[in-house]
Amino acid sequence: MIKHIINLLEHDLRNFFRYKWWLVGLISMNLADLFIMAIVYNYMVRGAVIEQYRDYFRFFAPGLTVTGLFASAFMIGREINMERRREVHHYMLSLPMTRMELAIGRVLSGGLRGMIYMSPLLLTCFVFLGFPNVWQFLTIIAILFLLALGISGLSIAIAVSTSSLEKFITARGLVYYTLFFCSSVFYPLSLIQQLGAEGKFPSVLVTLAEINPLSSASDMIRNFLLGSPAFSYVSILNVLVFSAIFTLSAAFAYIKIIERK
Amino acid sequence: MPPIIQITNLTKKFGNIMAVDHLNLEVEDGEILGLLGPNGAGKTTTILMLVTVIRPTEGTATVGGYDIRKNPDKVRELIGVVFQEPKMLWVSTTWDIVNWHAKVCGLPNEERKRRVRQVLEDLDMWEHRRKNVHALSGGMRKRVELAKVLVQRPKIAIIDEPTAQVDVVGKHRIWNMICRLRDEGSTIILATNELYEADILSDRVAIMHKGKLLVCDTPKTLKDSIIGGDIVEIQLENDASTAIIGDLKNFKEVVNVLQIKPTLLRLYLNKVEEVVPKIMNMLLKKNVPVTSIHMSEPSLDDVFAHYTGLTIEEAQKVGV
Amino acid sequence: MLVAERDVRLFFQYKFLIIIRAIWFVSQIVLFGLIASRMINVQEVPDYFRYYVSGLSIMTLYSAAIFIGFDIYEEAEHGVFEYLLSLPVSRRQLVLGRSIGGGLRAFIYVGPLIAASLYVIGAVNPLNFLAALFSLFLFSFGVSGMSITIAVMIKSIDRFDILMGVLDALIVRLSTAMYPLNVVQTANPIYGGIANFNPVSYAADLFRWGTGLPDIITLDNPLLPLVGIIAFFAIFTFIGITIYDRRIEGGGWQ
Repeated sequence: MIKHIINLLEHDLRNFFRYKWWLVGLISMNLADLFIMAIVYNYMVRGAVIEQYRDYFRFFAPGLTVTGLFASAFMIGREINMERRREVHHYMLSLPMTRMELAIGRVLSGGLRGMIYMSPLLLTCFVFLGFPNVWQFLTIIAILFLLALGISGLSIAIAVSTSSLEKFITARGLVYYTLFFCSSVFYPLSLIQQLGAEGKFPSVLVTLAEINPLSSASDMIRNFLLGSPAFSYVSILNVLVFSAIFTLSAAFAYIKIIERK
Repeated sequence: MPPIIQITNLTKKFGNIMAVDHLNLEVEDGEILGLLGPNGAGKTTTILMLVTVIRPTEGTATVGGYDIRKNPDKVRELIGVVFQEPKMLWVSTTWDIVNWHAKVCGLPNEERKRRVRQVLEDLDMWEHRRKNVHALSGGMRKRVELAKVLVQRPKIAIIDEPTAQVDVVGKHRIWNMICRLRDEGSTIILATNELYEADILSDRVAIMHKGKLLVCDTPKTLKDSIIGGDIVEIQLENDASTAIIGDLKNFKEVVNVLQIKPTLLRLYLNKVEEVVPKIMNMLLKKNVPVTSIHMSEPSLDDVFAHYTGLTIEEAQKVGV
Repeated sequence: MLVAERDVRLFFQYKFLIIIRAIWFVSQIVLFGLIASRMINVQEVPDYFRYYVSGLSIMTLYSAAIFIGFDIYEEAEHGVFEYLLSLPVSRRQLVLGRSIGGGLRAFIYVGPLIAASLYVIGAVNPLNFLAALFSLFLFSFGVSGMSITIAVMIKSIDRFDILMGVLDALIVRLSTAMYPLNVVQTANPIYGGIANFNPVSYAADLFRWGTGLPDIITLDNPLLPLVGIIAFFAIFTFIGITIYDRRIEGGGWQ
């Protein structure tokens, strides 16, 4: 079983690095967000945010790490969607391995690709914001890996449920925008909660921001590196639940849907 | 010895369309079985069910003793497939694709490297091994697809239209390699709509039409089974009279006479070697000058036409 | 004009995509715009929400106008390019038609979004706005011409994709689409210098000037950005025609 999963990881990781142009584009976008947008925002952001985190750059860097992880782990879905349209999945299904091995291998490789891409971003965070202790570091890695698995699973579930690349890209956009903007990636969660309390933001979206695994992961890194915002280990549960739901649904969808013609 | 593949009532329906209709077929160990039929005959769907990519609606098949419904994992360990359309992501290189396939099929390291090189060289693809698939021509992609199975040397190889888009020289090279694969011990199912390919490669040919199996036997038996299967075309110097056509029809071996042009007659008959001298004598006696004569044996196209009333080309045109 | 019409028609075949992208636009306003505006210091930007909404319209216009370059690669891949080159149309007419078609379809696509953002911004000075609209037309044609020029120049979808990604990252972020020029200059004088000579900044500033809403206007004299946009349009149309003329028949698309 392990051998086949390793073979699949090799297959998907090799393909990941073949999209070098796409990766360079994503890196440019991320670096521009961090070193241009975040720096300029420093000079516009209110005192409260600055006081809490010293500057917006420091606040935004962990959020950017999580969005980078999200975008790169999501890429496996694009590939699987393409495989489906070109009927490459017939080949994958004809290989001498079980369906379960195939599904686990694909979800795992999506997650691993996210971790590989995210690593330099996380390192940038450490360099500019300070290094965590060993336990914090291990917790960060473990939680981000779980998150990456969940994202990979979510993207696979969407990929096999959408018939065209156009529909996949559209669905991906909706997921990106909803999860990115309804989270504490760009702004403190307290701001969203405050807007909700004033009745200027729908309570459903406030709840989404609170349970959003992107919020949990960003705030966990901020707490470990900057000491703020307050962080409860219970919020790790969000990531665990998200990861479990989407990893399982991806495995199920991958096996069930791609076997249908 | 029991057949290596036993297909029983295998059926696949897509909505209201019956792609494969209660197919019953046996494939013997070590043979090349040509699966012949026009596009849409159900060949590819049958293959996809045999390799456990899609599930049958009804019926089943055993492959190497394993049921495709109950033991799909075991079935896949015995089978290698060359798909009709090359199934590969276009960012990958030739070497990556073939090497990875060999790895998944469990070939040990050294053996794998040796075989990959050997097969790519044999297919004239070694110098293109570092190229991405998108930089290859259609024929080259087809060769990469074939290379996967040649490296794998599976117990059962299923090859779907191996020479589509391949040039004439390439076709002969691929045919030789398919024969070599059989000689090395693989049983081969060769799906094709090229009659010549099926004729020269297959030990037996199964003809499919509209999802059903029409007939399955050796190419020779199939051809011999057609009454009036031999064809003689006689080019006359002058227009053929009704009386001459009547005289020709009077030979008991002649099944039918068609006047293709005023001076060209096509005769469908049996025992061509015995009857042609008699016909020539008769024409000489009646002072009917003959310009040329052309004899041919029935082809698999004639066999197909015999069973369906359509040539393969016609069947493809009407989309059945 | 027939070439331009064909490009506009092609774009609107992607109805589903266009509708969903419009929903993204609205969600960016409703989510990011609304929440981020709570974080911004009112002394720096008195009304960041409206400021962001107007900038977002220009960013969307830019992305839509860039799209024509990707169409060119798709055509090269499917052999449609040879067909277009075989038409009884001069190369200059072809590139001008495509540039106008690319710009026009982007403008038509962004039109309703601009209307939506005007509704959100809530103020219009009709005369100024017409002048701003004209400059946005030119901006859209200029971006479309730039996209065609780069696509034809590099003839590689991979390189084009990355270049557009990098360009998008830099040209949009180093502009006044998301933040006023004085803030960019304070943050980093180099960033400020680039933002000062950026067509996206010109378009965004002119659009804000066209609204007539004092809280978001950051422009004293609209003439300078207007001249900048005209120059941008003229340069890329001229360069586009020249490069298209020279490079288009060479083949070698990757």
